Amino acid sequence: MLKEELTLDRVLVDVVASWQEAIRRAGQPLFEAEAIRESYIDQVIANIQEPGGTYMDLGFGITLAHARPEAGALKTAFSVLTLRDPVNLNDDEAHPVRTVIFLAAADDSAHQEALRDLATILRDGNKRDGLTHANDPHEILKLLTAN
Amino acid sequence: MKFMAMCSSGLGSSFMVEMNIQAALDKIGAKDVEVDHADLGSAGPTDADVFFVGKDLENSVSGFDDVVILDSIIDQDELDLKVKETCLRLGIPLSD
Repeated sequence: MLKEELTLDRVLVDVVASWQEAIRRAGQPLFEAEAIRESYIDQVIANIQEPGGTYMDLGFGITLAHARPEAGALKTAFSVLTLRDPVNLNDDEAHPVRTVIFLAAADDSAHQEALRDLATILRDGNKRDGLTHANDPHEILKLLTAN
Repeated sequence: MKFMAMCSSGLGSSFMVEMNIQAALDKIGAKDVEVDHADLGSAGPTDADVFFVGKDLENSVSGFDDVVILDSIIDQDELDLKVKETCLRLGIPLSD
């Protein structure tokens, strides 16, 4: 469950200069927690730069940043970065990002229950707006982990 | 009948689409539709009847016959509408 895999030290609110920096900042807590290798963050950025890679933009200013397990995911884990000012994913104006949900998937299935929780929350327009407009990590964590 | 959500990694985005398609199917009471997700590299045109992808991957699905393109994969209103259209188009019975 998302409640078990997302902790306050993995929820950030920050200002960044570029979309690449947003991805790096979002992945940093998972690197520090040894859930991912640095190569995983590099691969997420490379994947977004690929043609069609902006599919990771879920819409409504939310991006689900992730790569394949073999890119360097050691544990299944989530982190969240909300930006005070949006950046454009892959510098594409069609993809403004305010919230980056960073997923480290250690295999093909361990993250599915947490992702199921996340999908339920993001389907709800009120919760979705609350998430992208929140400026306080406690509030963001509460939104994502409340039942 | 089988619907399949696809993305590049087959791990995150496509799984979310699968769940949201399932929610849309439940809402309209469509029976006998199986939903799955996969990455573009491993799914072939015969793996499902209809494929759902985000609009950024539109150019990657030219080899698939029946493709539904989504503007947002978490916009349930859009999914409800497009899933229902797809069911009606294919003659899948709905409960209401």
